[in-house]
Amino acid sequence: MHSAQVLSEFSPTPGCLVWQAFPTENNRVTDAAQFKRELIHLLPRLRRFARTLTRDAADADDLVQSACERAITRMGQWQPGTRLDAWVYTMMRNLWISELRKRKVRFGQGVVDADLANLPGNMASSDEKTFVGQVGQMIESLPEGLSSVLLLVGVEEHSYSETAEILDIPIGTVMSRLSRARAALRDGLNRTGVSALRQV
Amino acid sequence: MSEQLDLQISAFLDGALSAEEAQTLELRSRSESTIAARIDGMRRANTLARDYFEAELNEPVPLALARAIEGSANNRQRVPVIEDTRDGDRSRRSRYLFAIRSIAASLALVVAGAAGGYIAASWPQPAIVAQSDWLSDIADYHRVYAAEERHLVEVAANEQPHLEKWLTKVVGVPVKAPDLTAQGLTFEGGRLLVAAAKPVAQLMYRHSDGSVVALCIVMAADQAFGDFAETSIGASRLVSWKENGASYAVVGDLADTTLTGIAKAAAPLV
Repeated sequence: MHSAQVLSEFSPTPGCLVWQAFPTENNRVTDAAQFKRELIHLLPRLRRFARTLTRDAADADDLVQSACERAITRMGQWQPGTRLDAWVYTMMRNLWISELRKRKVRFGQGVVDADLANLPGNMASSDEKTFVGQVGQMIESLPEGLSSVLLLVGVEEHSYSETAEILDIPIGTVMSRLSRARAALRDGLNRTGVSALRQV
Repeated sequence: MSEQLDLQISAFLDGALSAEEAQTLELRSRSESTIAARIDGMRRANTLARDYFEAELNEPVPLALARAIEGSANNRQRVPVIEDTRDGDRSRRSRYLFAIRSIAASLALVVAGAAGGYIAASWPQPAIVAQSDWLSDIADYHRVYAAEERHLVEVAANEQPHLEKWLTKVVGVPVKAPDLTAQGLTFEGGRLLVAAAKPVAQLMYRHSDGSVVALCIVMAADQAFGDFAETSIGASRLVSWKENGASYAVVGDLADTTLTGIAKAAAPLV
């Protein structure tokens, strides 16, 4: 009985106490606390996607934080009912591209375009002892741009066109990067014999 | 040539080929074993990538990151924030994040090491499991049940004596639902879970904002004492401790900073 009271008081229904506490403009999402909670629930996935962009854990966490801050200031632009993850992913990609541009100017670090980069031929590394180590190593050493596509389509099952939109690349490029990622992984696994173990 | 073939296979795996193209490829794979092997290999590669990426979701999220988001502009007090202070806050937070980053990184390494140990020990079992102890199981349960409103509990708070008696019997250690109203929590009831193959009592509470906190109790393998330890698994935060032959854990949202206080208040009452 007590719980029902609590729920009706705090359920995020437009017009109820919580929502009116925020100034609303054109019925946009204005419950910041609720919005932040959803972002926090997404954190494991946001970090995972960020790592495919930055390929560095610390850069990835900085990127996630910046993207979430941006998402919070722009939360009124998000269309409820559409995928929040895809919306934040897109911001993340934009932020990362501009960060790379800044770094290029500052340190002369170039960005290797995924479609020009060579596929890794040799997967030798210090962490080849474990199965996970091997697979992870191979994924991390894929040329820039490939692992994001592999994650979005191959794991999270975004469509080709959603993925193209998130990464701002043509659908044809999504398909070719995906195929190159899977082929590189397959060939790498064949070389190391890891895939045979998977079949046990 | 083979690149073109791989492109086709990859699209085939996603169901993106036309019926005609798919049929042609299937027919070819039946007569040419190298093509069948290419398809199988790619499918396997995708499965492994999936396992790897799914395991990544179990890695602990730095608490400071969750706090930074929780505390960023438009905060919970619902007071408009002036632009200038917001920028100031942001740089302060960034510095803070930078400072804790090394701690978070070393924590992540410890967890990765533990995960590696687990996998090595269970070799050649192919499953990729990041953490297999009871805490990761109850974090999973929390994700499922905390979203429930009507079916949050199996036995509601109004049957507390029955709930405690039942769970004590099944779990094998005394289960008592402490009164945590002083911590702002309302007792909702409980349920029985199975975590790491052991029966676990899960007692559910709600903060006044509706978010759920669970107190979990499982029989321990020994009588060892374990002090309060805070950790995060995915989007859940957990505070665990051990005493009197039982292991206890308080589970809540990653953003919930009150859990250690709750655990310390609950410990003498259970």
